[in-house]
Amino acid sequence: MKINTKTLARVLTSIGLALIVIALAFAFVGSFEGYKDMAESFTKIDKATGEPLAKPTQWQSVLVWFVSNSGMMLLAGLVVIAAAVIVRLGLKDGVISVFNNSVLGIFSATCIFPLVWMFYSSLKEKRVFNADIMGLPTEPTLINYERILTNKDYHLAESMWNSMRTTALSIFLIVLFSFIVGYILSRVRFKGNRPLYLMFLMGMLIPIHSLLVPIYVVFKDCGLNDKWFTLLFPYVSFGLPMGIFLVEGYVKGIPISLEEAAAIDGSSFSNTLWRIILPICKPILITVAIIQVFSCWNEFSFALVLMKSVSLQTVPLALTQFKGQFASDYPKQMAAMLLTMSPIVVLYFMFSKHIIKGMVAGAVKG
Amino acid sequence: MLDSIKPKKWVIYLYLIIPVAAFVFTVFVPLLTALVYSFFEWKNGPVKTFNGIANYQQLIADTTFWQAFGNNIYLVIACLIGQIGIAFLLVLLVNARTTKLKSVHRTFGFFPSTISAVCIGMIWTMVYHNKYGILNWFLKTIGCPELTQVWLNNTEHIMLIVSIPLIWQFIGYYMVIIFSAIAGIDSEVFESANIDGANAWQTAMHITLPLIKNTMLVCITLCVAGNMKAFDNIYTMTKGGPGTASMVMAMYGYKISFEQSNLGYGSTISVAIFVLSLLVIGGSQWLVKRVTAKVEV
Repeated sequence: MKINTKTLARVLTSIGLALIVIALAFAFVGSFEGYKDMAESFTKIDKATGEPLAKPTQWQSVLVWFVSNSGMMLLAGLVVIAAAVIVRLGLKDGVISVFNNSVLGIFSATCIFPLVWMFYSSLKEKRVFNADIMGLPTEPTLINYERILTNKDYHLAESMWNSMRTTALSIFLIVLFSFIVGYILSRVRFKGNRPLYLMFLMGMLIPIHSLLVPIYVVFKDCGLNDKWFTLLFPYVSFGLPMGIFLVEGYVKGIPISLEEAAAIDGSSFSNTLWRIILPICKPILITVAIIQVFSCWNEFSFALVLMKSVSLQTVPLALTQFKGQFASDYPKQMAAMLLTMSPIVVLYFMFSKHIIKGMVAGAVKG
Repeated sequence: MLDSIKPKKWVIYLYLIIPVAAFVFTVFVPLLTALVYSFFEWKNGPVKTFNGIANYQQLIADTTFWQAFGNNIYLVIACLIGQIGIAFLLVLLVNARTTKLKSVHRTFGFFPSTISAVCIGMIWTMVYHNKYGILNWFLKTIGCPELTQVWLNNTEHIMLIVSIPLIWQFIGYYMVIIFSAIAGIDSEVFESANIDGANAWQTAMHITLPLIKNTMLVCITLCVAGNMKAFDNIYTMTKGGPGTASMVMAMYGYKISFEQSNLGYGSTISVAIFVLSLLVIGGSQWLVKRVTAKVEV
């Protein structure tokens, strides 16, 4: 009888999945304190008798065997699934497929692993974490979150409020100004049009980190350092050029006859701008906003140079104190990072498709 | 251009005045100020004395600065190969017929690039930690405890060690850009290549790559510009250390200006960063264009 490859592949896949599930289940059992104590009592020698502390029953020894070999079982399960793929697709395609999927799988895993690791480690106490950095928490605790939020010295909640305010205002101003300037540069003929266009183009090419020191000097001379609105200047200015060019390109695609018709109906320039053009430009303005949310929330170097008051620090700045002061208290650091990352992470996983699309558009067109 | 309607001049200027003024004030005024102060000796106080080109002479003889510049170039090259090269290869894998979970790879792969560099730096400090780090844990688990070390104190390989987080963070970013460029290619091109018997590698090198040349140029520009301004990661991970082994230009400018309060020389370094970055970005574009032009002939 000829074996149907499709059926064989299915059977193999099921075996592989079963192995993985069993392996994970036993690994989970093995992470409990109670199990660890039990397993230890079978191997630890009682000095008085020269015998192990306890003798395992038949079932217990089976359990210990499965737990200690769960890593091998996981591997075996993956190998069986790979074999299933090769059976299904033939040798050449199968090997390629196994290779592709495992390389990409490993890559994606490394990208998301830090988040997962930080999440479950932040639920451990420092003592438990230092004893075993990879293990799952056996007694999950929120003590780290409690500590960083209740201790006023960390001013984490304050820094999040500062970041939110700065980010929100910067984005509002960037979107507003990009829209106005982008539209005018694209549509209105006046003497300063070309020079302004070139000026903003230069703004995109300027290596902004060469401004780190000079901006501090200028802002200090003008008394603009260390105010709640200080960071709006660099964030808006550095965000503007890309926004302007995205809007400018977008407006070029809108037929002029629209504005001409509006003018014939007696609409003024401002009226046309806000009532007719603004709604049409909504998609590109959302793209601009998306790109800037991430760069404003994450910006570090200018905040570092321009802000001195602890009460005005933004999130990345507040995080650096955790590095210095509590260099070895990793669970606490992780809790602080997760807390400050949370708005971005939630936003990202809710709208990842739009965000990725927007960022790519910004990078390529801008 | 909207010629049929002439908005009043003052309306236009009223709309433009705030954004243009703010932009000039934060970008061009500091640039000019830096240029002026770069000719002054200005240390730790209100006294500024004109000292001609002394700062520039000091800069040219400053080995630390040139080491920092070299490290920037190292980062640029490492990231060009690491980020764009690996991203391109991964995109080829994602585009393969039998690849599953494509959108998951895209979402997960892109994720690190949305996280702040400070967080990335802190996470990798944990990875590299000698006692509680994942890397040393991994080396012990696979049975090579002799390889474990205090990674961030390794003077010899520090640049490689600090560039790995940087590379890792942005692979997904370039992956997505290249992916969307390839998605825009007419699929008939690939079909006919397949019929003509081109294998996957030949298709990638001789068909895909030339067709997405412009996108690759954008990626290269972004990558070069991004690494000339490297600062946040270095600041969180090593602050330029051990010694000055992982110093980059922005970090050096920061140290001179704020830790040694030498704002005059700091301004000179800023001007140098400005000029050198523009030269490297421009030079890399010129080089890429030349190379690709030759390929086409």
